[in-house]
Parts: sequence; C-alpha cells; structure tokens
Amino acid sequence: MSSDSDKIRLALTRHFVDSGEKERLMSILRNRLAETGWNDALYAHCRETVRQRKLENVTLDELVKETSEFGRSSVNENIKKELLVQIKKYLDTTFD
Amino acid sequence: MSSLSPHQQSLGLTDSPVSSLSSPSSPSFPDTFPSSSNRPPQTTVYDILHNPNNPPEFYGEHPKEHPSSLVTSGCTHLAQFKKQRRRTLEDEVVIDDDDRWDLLTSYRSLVHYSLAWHKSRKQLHSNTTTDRKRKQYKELPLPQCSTCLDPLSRLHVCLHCVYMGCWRKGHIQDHMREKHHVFAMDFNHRTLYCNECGDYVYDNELTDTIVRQETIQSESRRRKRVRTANTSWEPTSQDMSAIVKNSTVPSCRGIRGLCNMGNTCFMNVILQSFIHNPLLKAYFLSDQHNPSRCNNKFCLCCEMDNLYAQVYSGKKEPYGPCTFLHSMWMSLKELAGYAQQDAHEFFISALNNLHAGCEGHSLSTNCTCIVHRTFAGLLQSNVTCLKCGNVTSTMDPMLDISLSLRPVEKKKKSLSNNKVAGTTTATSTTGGNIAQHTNNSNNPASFTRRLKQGNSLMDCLDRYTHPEKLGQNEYSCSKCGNTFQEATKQLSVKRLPPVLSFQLKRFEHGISASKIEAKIKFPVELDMTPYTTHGKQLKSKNSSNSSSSMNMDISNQYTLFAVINHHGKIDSGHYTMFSKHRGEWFKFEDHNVTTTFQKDVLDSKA
Repeated sequence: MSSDSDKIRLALTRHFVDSGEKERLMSILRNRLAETGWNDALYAHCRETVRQRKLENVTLDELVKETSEFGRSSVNENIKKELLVQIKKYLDTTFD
Repeated sequence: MSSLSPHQQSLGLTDSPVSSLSSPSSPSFPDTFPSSSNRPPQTTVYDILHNPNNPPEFYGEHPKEHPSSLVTSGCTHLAQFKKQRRRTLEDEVVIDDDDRWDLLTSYRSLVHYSLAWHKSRKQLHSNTTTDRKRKQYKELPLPQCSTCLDPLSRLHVCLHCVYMGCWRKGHIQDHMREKHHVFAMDFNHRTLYCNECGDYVYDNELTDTIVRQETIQSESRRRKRVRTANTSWEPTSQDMSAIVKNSTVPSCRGIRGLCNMGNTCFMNVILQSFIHNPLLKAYFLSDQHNPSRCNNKFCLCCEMDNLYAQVYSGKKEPYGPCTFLHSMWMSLKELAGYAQQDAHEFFISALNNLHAGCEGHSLSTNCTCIVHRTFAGLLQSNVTCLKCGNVTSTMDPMLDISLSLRPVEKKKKSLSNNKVAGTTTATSTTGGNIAQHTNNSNNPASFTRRLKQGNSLMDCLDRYTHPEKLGQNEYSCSKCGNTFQEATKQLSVKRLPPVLSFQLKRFEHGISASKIEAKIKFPVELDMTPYTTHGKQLKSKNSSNSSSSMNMDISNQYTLFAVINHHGKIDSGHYTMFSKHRGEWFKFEDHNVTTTFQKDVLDSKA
C-alpha cells in the first residue's frame, strides 16, 4: 500500500532525475571528491583490503560491503555540507 | 519513427533523439529504437583473435603456460553465449522471430540509449543550447524500474527482454532469477552484469566493439564531415588466414627498464615518458614511421620505432638503448658525451629532432608531424598600454610550459629542470560543471596572497598568466605616438596541445647556481580553462559571479600520466620518473621498475 508520503517521494525522485538535478549534483560531488583525493584513498584501501583478507574473485557487492564504512567516514565534512545546501535549495525551489 | 529515412533505418543508427522514443521498459522499445539487427554482424579483429581454429603457434611462445591462455571472454557464461552465437551465424540456422533477439544487439541498443539519455539531460541544463535544441532533447523518456517506477536506485536493464529493474530493492535480481535471464546492463555505467557469476564481468571484445564504439559515435559532433581518410577495415577470409599463418600475438606487457650507460638517466626518463605517451605509442606501434623506408641518417624516429619494438617484445630484462644514444650523439652534438645533462634540454632537442625526421613535416606553425600534433600549443601574449588601452597580441608556438617557482622579482632566466606531463582524456572523466573551489574564494585579498606564496601547480600557472607590469622604457605604444608608456603584459594559452608538459624551473644560474627544492603540489586532474585565452575573457566578463559555475569544456581537462623527479644537487644528481601504465603507477629508476601508489607520485617533488 503506497501511502501519500510514498507517492510524494516517488514523484520527487522522478523530478529529481528528470530535471537533470541528480546528474548535476553527482558531477559536483565527483569533482569535490576527486579534489580531496578521496578516490585515491578509497582505491588504495580497497587494494589493501583485498590483499589482507585474501579475497579472491570478490564481487562488487562484497567489496562494497567491506569498504563502505571507510568510504563513508572519510568524506570531508565540507563536501557534505555543500551538497546538503544544494539539496535544500533544490527542494525549496521544487516545492514552490 | 516516421522521421527516419529508410537509409537511416537500414544503418540502424539513430543519431538524433528527435522522435518520440519509448523507454527501455516499455514493450515497444525494440521496434522504436532500432539497432543493427538488420545488418549482418561485422567481422572484427576479435574474430581473428578468438577463432577456435587458430593453430597454437599463433599465440606466441608460451612453453610453460597453457597454449590457449588468451582470455576471450569476461566470464564462462559469456563465452558459452558467444560460442553458441557464432555457431548459429555460421550455420545460418533459420531462426524464428522469438529467437531473433540477439543479446549483443540488445546490448548495443541499450548502450546507445544510455548515452543518448545522459547526453540529453546534460544538454537540457547547459547554458549554451538554444531553446529549439532543448525541445528536441526533452523527448527521451525517463528510465525507471518496471516494478516500482523508481528511477534512482541503480537501474539495470535486462538484456534478454524489455525489463528494467532497480538494484537496491532487488527487483532486477528477482526478475533475472524468475525468468532465468543471465545478463543485464547497469544503466548509468553501461557495464555488463552476469547473474550466474553474481558479479560484473568485463569483456574486452564487447567493451571495445560495442561500448567504446557507441561512446565515440555519440561524442562526435553531428554533421561534421570526418576529416581523416580512415575507412573501416573488414578482413576477408583470405586476410584472416594470411594473418594467422604469418604472425603471432605479442605480449602487451609494455614495460622495460632502461640501462644507465653512463649518466644517461636524463635520457632514460624522457624516453620512458615517450614510451608511455599514448599518442606517440599509437603512432609508432602502428608502423607510421617505417625504418625501411626512411632515408635519414641517424634518424631518431627510426630509433623510436626500434625502441618501441624492444619494449613490446615481451622480454622482461632491461634494455640498453645504445643505438638510440649513438644516433642522439650524432644528431644532438651539444648533448654528446658522458657528462650529466639536463633532461629538459634533451626533451626539447629530441622533439625537434623527431619533428625533423618525420615525413611531411613543415616549418610553419601548422606542422602535422606527430610531435606537433601531440605537444604543440600556442601561447598568446597580450601587451596592454595603460594609457590608451591598446592591446597588441603576439602568438608564440610552444612545446611545453616552463614555470618559474619564485615570484618574478628577479629577471634572471633560470635553467630548466623537471617536467610534469599531462594528457587530455577523450572520454569525459569528470563531466559536468565546475564550481569555484570553496577555499580559493574569489575575494581579491586571498588571491594575491596565494599569488605570491602559493605552492601548487595552479598557483604557478596563475603567476604565469597574471598580468605583469613592464619596465619603464620597454614598451612604446604606436597609438600614443610611439612614446614610451606604462604597459602590462599577460600570457595565456591560445591553443592547448593534447599532451601538456610542464617544466618547473628549479635550477637557478646566477651569481650562485642553486636548486629550488620547494615542493609543488600538483593534481591528478587539471582543468586548464582559467589559463586559456578564452577562459581569461570569460572570467573578466563574469567577475561579479562568485558562485557561478563555468560550463566545463571537456577538452580542457587533463589527466596526469608522467612525473619526472630530480634528486640531488645542481651539478650532480639522479633522475627518476613515475608513469601510469594501464591504470597503474610505476616508478622507473633506470633498469629498476617497481609498482607504486598514486599517493607516492603526488607526494614526489617534481
């Protein structure tokens, strides 16, 4: 049973992707993360994890499970704040 | 589909998403988004390589390894599918409409659609498209999960039928399990997922023939006539048997150390940077300079061709470039002898010599030899008279950019040293908009502070392209009656080369020759837009917009691929270099080649 909030959420998600806002925010995020070297740190961490735990033929999902803690915690606070501001701005303008 | 001409339909390529196409999740998708299903599949080089009838000698000498060790497919299930498909095509088995659904054509259509959809969304929100174009691009419908209509949760498209499912809620996995469908494509990354393996599989042949081809086609501008004389080559069966009988598949190892033959480390590092330069590699490995046809004496191009042959011979032990050294001595007499030399001097001299050795090189600024096609750019120098505002521009061709490390108070010209090379990537590595960095604010106070003391590559470039005041009697303005006036000079890059090299001037030759050891931070990805002539013009127009995002021009994005380091003092030292080979970083120290991390590369003092 889809409640009203579910319906709103779905409509919002669709608008989010359709208007290109998601792509825009994703590319900002990608740039910021690359600037701070987050990509390289995560890549190195993945390599270390695979090597240490001797995970042969690891699938993407397994690798994500192992390393997502590190990935999430190592994102710079500024980036999170900046993205939040952008998302809030988007929500404000959409609901007008 | 009324807008498609019969010609376009038979080609099976829809270039403009003008018509009202249906989304991959609707049943009418295969009809409205035609693929090359009407065309018989092209024979590609992979058919030659993977043909099971090839004799084992074709695959080279592998005495220890199993002869058929060539990886032909991303996973065993793909291999099975490919074998089956080849058999049906060879036997020309009559298949009815139900079986006509070919996984590979499905994959191709989906890749094409994904590219078109992403492009349409990007165009919709760029500032440069007209309203008319915007209406066209808006037509492509939103891809969404067939089960829950969510467009956001890592959508995958089934290759076997018209189903799109999201990952996080397990819809695509459920579908694949229920219908026994094996392959799906991640809509955003266009990678292939195999449900039997439970993982993404990477198949060279499919990535090359399908994904790469569609990506290139989608990025090339429409209605631009292809300027090259290249035609596609489809091997006949005679070609194929000739190739298989008379050649072998070499190893693509591509890494060999170079022996130091007496203070030749300066040459070795430059040669290694050439070896890993993708444009030079493509040129020489495709036999574009054939020594048997070259009549030049001590031709460095022939030596380069030989060098590549040696590096890609599959041998692991280091190579001593003796013949190269000999030819180099004969053609660049200033660098002959066993004394220590400067790598940058060698770099420029070698480039000039290679340029001279190329057939069809010219002395004009539009030389099309491989050296100029790779390294040559154009620097613009604008001198502005402070009295009347008259601007005189001069253009200077350049092969690299030499950056001084100290703010220009002393006018001494320092001798060169280390080099950082970058290359543009044809695919968009970081597409989208670039916003100004939050810490490099636009407020003038912090900018001038960074200008004087900043120690990153971007700061050096800022200093390089910052307007410089000319001395008292240096400029006479023609509009002010040829009198000496105060003027400023500003450098900017008018035309960027595909491979951009930076030289950091660490050696100072003055009263006391010394080396500047300051660490200069450089990024992996560099956007050169603010230093281009066009970028400077844009900046002066938008001076008030502090949070505006300049629409990023992909062709100004550079990715680092080589760094040369110098250790030691000005008169005695040692060169080493880092280079990226097939996605991994390696450290080259003459005959020693070791793996390394990108972090070490970025920490090094270039």
